[in-house]
Amino acid sequence: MTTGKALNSVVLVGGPDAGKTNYLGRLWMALDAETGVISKDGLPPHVEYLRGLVTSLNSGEFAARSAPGTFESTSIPVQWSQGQSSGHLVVPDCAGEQWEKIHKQREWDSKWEGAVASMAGCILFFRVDSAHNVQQLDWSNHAEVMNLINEAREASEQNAEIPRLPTQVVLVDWLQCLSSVYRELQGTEKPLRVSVVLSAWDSAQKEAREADPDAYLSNELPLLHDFLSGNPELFRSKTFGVSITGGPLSHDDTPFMKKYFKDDPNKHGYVVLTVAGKVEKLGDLTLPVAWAFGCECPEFSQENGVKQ
Amino acid sequence: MKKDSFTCSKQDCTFALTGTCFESISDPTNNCPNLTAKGTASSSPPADLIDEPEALDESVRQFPPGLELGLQDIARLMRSRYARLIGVLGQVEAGKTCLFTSMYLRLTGRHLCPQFRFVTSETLLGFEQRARHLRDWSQGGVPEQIVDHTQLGHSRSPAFLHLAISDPQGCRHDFLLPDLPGEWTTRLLSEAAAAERFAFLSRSDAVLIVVEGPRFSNPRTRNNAITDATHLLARLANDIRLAKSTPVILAVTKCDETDGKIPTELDRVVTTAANHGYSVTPVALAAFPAAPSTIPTGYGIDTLLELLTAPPTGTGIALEALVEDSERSYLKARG
Repeated sequence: MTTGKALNSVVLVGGPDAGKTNYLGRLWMALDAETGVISKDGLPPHVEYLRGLVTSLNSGEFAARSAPGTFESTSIPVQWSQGQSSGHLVVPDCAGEQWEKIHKQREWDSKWEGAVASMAGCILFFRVDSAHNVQQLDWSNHAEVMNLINEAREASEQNAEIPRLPTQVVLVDWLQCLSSVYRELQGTEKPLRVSVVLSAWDSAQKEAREADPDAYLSNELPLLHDFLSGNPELFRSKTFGVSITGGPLSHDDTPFMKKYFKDDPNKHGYVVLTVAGKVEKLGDLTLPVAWAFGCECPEFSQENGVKQ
Repeated sequence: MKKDSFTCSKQDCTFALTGTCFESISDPTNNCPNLTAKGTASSSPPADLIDEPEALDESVRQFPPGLELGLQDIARLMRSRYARLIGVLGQVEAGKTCLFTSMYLRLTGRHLCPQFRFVTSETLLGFEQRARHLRDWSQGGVPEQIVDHTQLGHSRSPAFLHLAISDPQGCRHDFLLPDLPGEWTTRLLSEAAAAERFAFLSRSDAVLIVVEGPRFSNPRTRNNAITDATHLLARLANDIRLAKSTPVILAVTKCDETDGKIPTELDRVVTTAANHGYSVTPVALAAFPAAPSTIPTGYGIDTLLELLTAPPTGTGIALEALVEDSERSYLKARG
């Protein structure tokens, strides 16, 4: 694990409904349970925000989407390597609308500047079943292209909102912004560590669920995938399929919900990733943070080039 | 009043020196709110009279708009890595923008894999907007010069698009593609003096002359098309003085209307180019064919990229020289 504790923040990147806030709640559960690669090192001084998120999950509900102005910077004392190393994990959580605003207005304020100055890495969220996702257009389909162009032109002429850009274009734009500021503020040539979290992985197609999440990223978001893999001097990324509950939470008395309430919610949920070339489904929800944080652990040994 | 009688509150604006408004505002001495005549009070209120002091602190970081790159922007880019400058000439409706967007969309949609892959673009949003036909030239007239910087909210300005790709060997190639109004090329045909605007072509690694294929096959337009193309080559050779070693590519667009073939009439253009000492390669292209079942979308883009990624024959000139040349041109043009 890294020991440079000045760089202790992990920035959560993603638009509305990408799964950032609920992941943070589930992460705190995992840290609190002290069974993962990273665990808590005592209670944080301010835990109200996290308690609210966990309360929802324990009640069988996802946390409500963050209000547009939300910017909650949570500091959690953590330890790893069986307590041999410790530090503070600072995770600023904000509404996805703030990320959209950064993309549109091309600026951010001092809160972001502070978070990136101490950023060890970031987690990029993409929810596989979100209604907010905008698919890339099939540019070989003439009719589809002409429809889009006409729609965009009409909206532009009427000063209406023009069709949104494909989600993967916006994600790449955010990474470009983050990377440039990261390098400038930290004066580093080190690549930015990026965990790509494909949230709601339990709702992906069965075939995709059982395969390497990076293959999903490559098929569904090729621009983002090629951007990350084509710029190794800028990014060191790993893709995770994440389900924070292992299934859909609902108000119905489904077998899944019965089991969810019967068990410890921390035993629900999983992370799918490739470990030494093999797709693994693990119960440690701290792994995406561990990658972004730069932790060395058996799950990342091959990528980090560490012999176990 | 002389331009050096003014100061601009924009940090990067060089109006007092070059007469070029940083925000490309027409008649800036009358219209630019940031410009103040020396010796007069600033039109901006003092900081302590601003209603919302926190607003000053609101934005501490501004990101590039990602739409185009100005001369200063490409100078910065080329200080960090080698990039090939591709000169692009072509009249209005020749298909220059479609060519750029098709190249971008073929790459980002992985239609050119495994041969070529998208790596990055500093003008990602510019490509996306052009693909949606949302980045038109200002209605107020054709811009006169390449900008130093581009800013959010500005209309399309003569500037550069950036695209980085990787080839089958995994080598990265960065391209800078000038996105200029077609009227500039038309003006060049009419007036030798317009060559000054194209001073940057002397630093280019390759030059694309974009022409419409159907204009060469149609008997009613053929002779004019040939005349324009051959005159353009003469301007390149005699007025722009493009080095003979610079590869010239005839990008023949809309070839879905010529069955995917290069009209034989273009042979005369190729011969003229050879007479000027240039090595010319014609490429048949169809960016967005009306009937893609016959000629596929992005037809010829792979061939074009093969030519553009071929080992450079140029000298790999530092961009500072290009920027200095261009600035000299502006100063000269503006007196």
